[in-house]
Amino acid sequence: MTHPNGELFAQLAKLVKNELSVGIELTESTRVVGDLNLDSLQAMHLVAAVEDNFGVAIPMELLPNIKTLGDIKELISKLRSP
Amino acid sequence: MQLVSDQHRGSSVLTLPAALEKAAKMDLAGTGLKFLRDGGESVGLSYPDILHQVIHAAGSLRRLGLRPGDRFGLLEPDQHTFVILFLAALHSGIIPVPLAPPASFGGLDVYCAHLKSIVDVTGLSHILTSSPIKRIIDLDEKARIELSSNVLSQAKFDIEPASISRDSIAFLQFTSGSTLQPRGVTVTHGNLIANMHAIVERLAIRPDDITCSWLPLFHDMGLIGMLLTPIFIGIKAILMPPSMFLKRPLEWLKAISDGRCTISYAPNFAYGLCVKRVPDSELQNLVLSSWRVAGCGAEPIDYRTIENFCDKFKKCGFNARAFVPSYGLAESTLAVAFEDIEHGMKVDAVKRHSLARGVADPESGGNSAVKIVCCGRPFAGHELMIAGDNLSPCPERVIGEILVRGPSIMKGYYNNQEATAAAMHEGWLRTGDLGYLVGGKLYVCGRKKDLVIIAGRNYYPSDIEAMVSQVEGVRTGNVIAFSISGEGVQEELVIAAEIAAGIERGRELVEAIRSHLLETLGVKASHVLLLRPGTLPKTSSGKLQRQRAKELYVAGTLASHSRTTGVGSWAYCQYLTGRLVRNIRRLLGR
Repeated sequence: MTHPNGELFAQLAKLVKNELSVGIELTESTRVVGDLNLDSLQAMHLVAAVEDNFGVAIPMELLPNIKTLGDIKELISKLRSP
Repeated sequence: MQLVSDQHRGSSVLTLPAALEKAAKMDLAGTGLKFLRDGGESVGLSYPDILHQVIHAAGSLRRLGLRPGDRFGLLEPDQHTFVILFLAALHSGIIPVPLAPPASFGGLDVYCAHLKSIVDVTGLSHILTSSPIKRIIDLDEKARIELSSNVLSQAKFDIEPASISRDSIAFLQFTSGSTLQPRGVTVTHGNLIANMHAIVERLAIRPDDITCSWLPLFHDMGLIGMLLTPIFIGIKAILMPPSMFLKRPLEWLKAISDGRCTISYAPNFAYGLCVKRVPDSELQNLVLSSWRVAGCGAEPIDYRTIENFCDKFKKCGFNARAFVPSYGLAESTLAVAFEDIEHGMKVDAVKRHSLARGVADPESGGNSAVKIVCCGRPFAGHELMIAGDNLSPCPERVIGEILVRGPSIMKGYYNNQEATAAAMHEGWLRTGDLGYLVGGKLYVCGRKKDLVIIAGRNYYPSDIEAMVSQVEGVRTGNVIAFSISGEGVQEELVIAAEIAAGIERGRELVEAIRSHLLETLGVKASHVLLLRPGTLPKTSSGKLQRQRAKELYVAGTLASHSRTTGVGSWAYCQYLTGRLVRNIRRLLGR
C-alpha cells in the first residue's frame, strides 16, 4: 500500500466512525453493508458523507460493485484523479 | 379559480396518450416537466417538446421489433429517458414494465434473480437500460438487453398510434409480490384514468398547481401520482432522482421552496428523515408556504413523525393543515382514500387493549391510548367495506379487512390466476390490510397479510426466511420472519431461526444472519432469536405459523439468545427457551 493511499484510507475510516458511530475496527476488507450493519438509508447517508468530505460525485450505478471500504477508497482515488 | 377537475369532468379524454396530446395543444406557458439532476444542470421540457420526443421514441420501439401488446422492461435510472420511453410505449400500445435499478452497495445476485423472475412471469423480450447497468446485470440471456440511448437515437420511423380502449393494458406494476415470486399488477388505461380522475378531484387540482417529487418512477406513487397525474391535467411537475433526496433530504424541501411547489407526496419515513437530517441552519433559507398538499402514504403513518415535521418546519411557513394522510395500494392502481384537503392530520385515540379484541374503543384521556391516523373518505365512484372473517360488513369501530371495489381496481395479476383468485372476491379487492370506519372515514390499524414494510419498501417474509435459511448453521426452512411495531408505528423486523443442534457460536450466527440479510435484501433485522430444533410453532401438517410465532414473541415467550437482549450464556438461553416453549405448549394443550 502506498503512503497517500494509506492516508486516504485513514481519512475514510475516521469519517465512517464519526458519521455512523461504528465501534468495530475498520480495515480495507471491512464489508460496507454487512460489517457496518447499514440499512439502505444509512448507506445513502454514507455516500453523501463521502461525497461531501472528499469532493467527489459517486455515480449511483457504481454502488452494486462496491463491497468493502477498500473498494470505496479505490473509487475515491479514481474519481479524484484527473 | 377554475379547477382542473371541472375542465375534465365529462371530457372525452379516455387515455393518457390523448391527455398528453391535449396538454401539448394547450401549450400553456410554465407547464411541462422539469428534471433536476444531482450536481448537474436541470432540464425543462414543455408538453409540445415531450409529445414530439414521445412520437419519435414510439417509432424507435417499433423498429426494435416490439408490437402492440408486447412487454418490455424499462430499467432506466435517468428520469427524462424513463418518461419518454414509458409514454412512447403507451402511445404505441406496447406494455412497459417499470423495473427498479440496483440502488445500493452489493446485493447483485438477489437483484438479478428478481429480474429473471419478472422476465419469466411477463415473457418480456427486451430490457431497455443504461450502459453502467447493462455491464453489471446477468440474466442468462433470458431477455435482450438494449441501451436506451441507442433506441432513442434511431432515425425517425413513422407509425400509426395504437388504438387504445379502456380495457387495454397500459403497463404492469411490479411493486407487489415477493422478490422470488413477483406479482405484476395489470393496470389498464381505464384503471389509470379512473384513479387519476379521482385524485385530481379530491385534491382540487388547479391549472397553476406545481408538483414536486423525488419518488422512484418504478413505484406507483411516483409514477402515477407525481408524473402521470400532472401530465393527465397538463400542469407543471418537477422530478428529482430518489438518490438525490436519500443522500441529502434538504434537496427535496429546497426544490419545493425554489419551485414554489404546491403538491408533493412521500412516505412517512421521508418526513422523519427531514426532521432528523435537515440542519437547523438551513431553515432560514426555506419557504414552504406554497405547499398546500403534503401527501403521506405507502406505509403506516406515525402521528409523531408528522407532528415533529410540522414543529420543525412551521418557521419556514409550512402549514400543518397541508398534510393529507392517504391510503392506497398498487392493486387499486394507486390510491383508495384521502383525508380531506386543508384538514391536516386527525388522529383517533383508542384503548390499547380494545384493539386486541378487534374493536377500536375511543379513549378519553389517559396515557395508554393508541393514536391512529385518519386516512379520510374513499374516492367517489368507489366502494370501501370493512369485512369480518365471513366477508360481511363490520359495524363502525369494529376492525376488519379493508375491501375495495370500483373502476381503479385491477382485473388481476398478470399471468397469475391463483394469486388473482386469492386477492379478488366478487369484484371486491381484498387488500389484506386491517382497518375500521368512523363516520365514513377510514382508519388503517394493521395488516392481515404477511408483509413487512420498512422505509416505504415492501418485504415478503418468505423472501427473508429463504435468505436466512442460506446462512450456515441455520436449519433450512425452519425460520420465521415477521415485524412488530417499534417506536411508534414504524416496523421492526424479527427473525426467529432454529439452528442445527450443537452449534455453539450463537453471537457469530446472529451477526451472520444480520449481515446476510443486509447484503442480499438490504433489510435490517432488529431482533434475531436462535432457537432449538422443533421449537417454532407449526401446524399439524408441518407448516410454520408466522402469526402464532409473532404472538408468542410479543407475549415475551419466544425469547432466547439475541444480541439486543444480551442475556446470560448461550447454553443457558437455549435451556431457558426450550423450557419456556415446552411450558407454552403444555399450557396450550399441544
